[in-house]
Amino acid sequence: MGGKWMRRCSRLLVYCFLGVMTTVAEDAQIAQPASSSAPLPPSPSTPLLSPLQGTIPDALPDVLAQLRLRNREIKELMERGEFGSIYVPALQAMELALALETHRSELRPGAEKLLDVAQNRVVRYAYLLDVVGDLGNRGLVVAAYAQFEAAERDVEAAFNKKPSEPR
Amino acid sequence: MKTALRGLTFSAVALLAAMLPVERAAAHKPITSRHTYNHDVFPIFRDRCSRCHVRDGVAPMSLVTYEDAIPWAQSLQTELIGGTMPPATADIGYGAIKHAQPLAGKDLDVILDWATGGSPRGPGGEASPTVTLKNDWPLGAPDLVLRPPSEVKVPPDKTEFTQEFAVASGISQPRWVRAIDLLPGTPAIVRSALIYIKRPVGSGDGGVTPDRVLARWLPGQNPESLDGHAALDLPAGAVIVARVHYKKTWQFEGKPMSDRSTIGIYFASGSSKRPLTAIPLTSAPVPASAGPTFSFSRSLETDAELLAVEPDQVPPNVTLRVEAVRPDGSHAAIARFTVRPDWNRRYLLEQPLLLPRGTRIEVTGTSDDSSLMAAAFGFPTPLAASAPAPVRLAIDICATSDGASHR
Repeated sequence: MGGKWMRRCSRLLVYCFLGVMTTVAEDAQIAQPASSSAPLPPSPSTPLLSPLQGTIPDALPDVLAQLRLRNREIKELMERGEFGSIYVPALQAMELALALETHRSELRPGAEKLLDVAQNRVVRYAYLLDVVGDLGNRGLVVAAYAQFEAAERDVEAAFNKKPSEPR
Repeated sequence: MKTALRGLTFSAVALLAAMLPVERAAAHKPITSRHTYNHDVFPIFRDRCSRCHVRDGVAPMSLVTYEDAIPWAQSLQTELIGGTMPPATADIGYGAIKHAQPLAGKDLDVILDWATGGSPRGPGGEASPTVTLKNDWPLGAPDLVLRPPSEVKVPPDKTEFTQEFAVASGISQPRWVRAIDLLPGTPAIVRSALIYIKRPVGSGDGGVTPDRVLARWLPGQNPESLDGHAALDLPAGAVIVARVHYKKTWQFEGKPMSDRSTIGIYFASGSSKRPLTAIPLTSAPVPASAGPTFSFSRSLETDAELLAVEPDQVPPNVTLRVEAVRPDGSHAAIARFTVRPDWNRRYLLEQPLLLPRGTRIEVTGTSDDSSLMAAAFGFPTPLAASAPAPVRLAIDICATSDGASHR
């Protein structure tokens, strides 16, 4: 129980970090990262569980890159059996998916509802990964991740200029 | 005595359950949520949930005061992650259904973050604005109100109870109807209703045609009004039956209850209408668990406009996808929804879908994630039917303009 709340508190710290970084960036009038300067996905040796690298990026490709990065972190944590840590990249991915609200103008035509549905599912399955991660049951984690990943793919598909069949 | 004791025990447990989390939240849970009840959560509950989740509403708990909501934080997590609330939604990413009503991802996150993060009250003093039960006709006063001859009594020992009442419409001429609604007499126990026309025994087709469904009433849902050229055909002298399903929440368990719900009828304006016809689609028997994907189809025998889909007999927690495949091979998404026990509704399309004769209506069913959710939250795996049974739904169509009838 104590560990759970410690982790909850660490989630809050992630949010605080994001908030602080945003404020600092605004105060210092630092130029927001452009697409070309987006944080690159870490090499395999990069430690996992790092908080989002700075603010949520402004540019759509950067947000989507961050989303993919969180997805990869979840997968790697699953492979290592570190189920109790999955909630961090899962909830961060959720934050990123919700942040795509500001990019609605960049959706492919007719994909507004697809994004709505996908965001709803990303939120549900991110929280589910938190729950099943605590249980430490690989089968449940894998099943929840499959749903989460499908939702995340739908988020990306909503911005993909080449339409794909909704799942 | 036994009933009284059970009621007392249940009340005590419920009271404890209601008190404990408040204490724990207040005394022990660190607040990690970025969202507070008063500022963020209450507006969502008020706008999206208060038709049922309000004092004296049909839901087992109110969510429109902080004190009412906080004992249910864990339940909120389970229901929202499990996708069982809000109920009777449709997938807005497939087809276009009126009032599909899923929660936005942002709102979902707000509630879940609050429910799992210490559930803080937030600014605004002790109380949120008062929300009271709204029990009225969402479409305004009906053109015709049919009152049952007497009250329905729900015995103390029945938690769930189904009762029919029949009322003569009293209309002497056939009429076109755009909507039918039900106004619960005792909203706290009226859980669902099926409203249909009773066919006289031995009339017409010798009883082969099933009774015609006019409306499927659910709490918290506005009745769907047919505002185009399709309408329900109400024959002269029709007897209308409401099959009402009553369900007592824990507050009323063990108590005698009564209800006198009324049926409201809204006549369609204009004389040129086409009748809405329900075409049944029935599968071969599918496995009780509905585990693997199954599919079935039916072809339209005439040109038609498709207006709605109505699940009738579907295993619980199955997601149905309904699509049209035209003779030229083109596909049109119609609807995708997950059928929950007790939440059957008519899924009305935002726009009628014009389909030529020979179009195949294809239905694909898949198990949803309820087994995963059950395992995650530690409740029993959803009950399956005891034996393979056919899946049945109806599509509501009306003839194209060539087949219009006039009244």
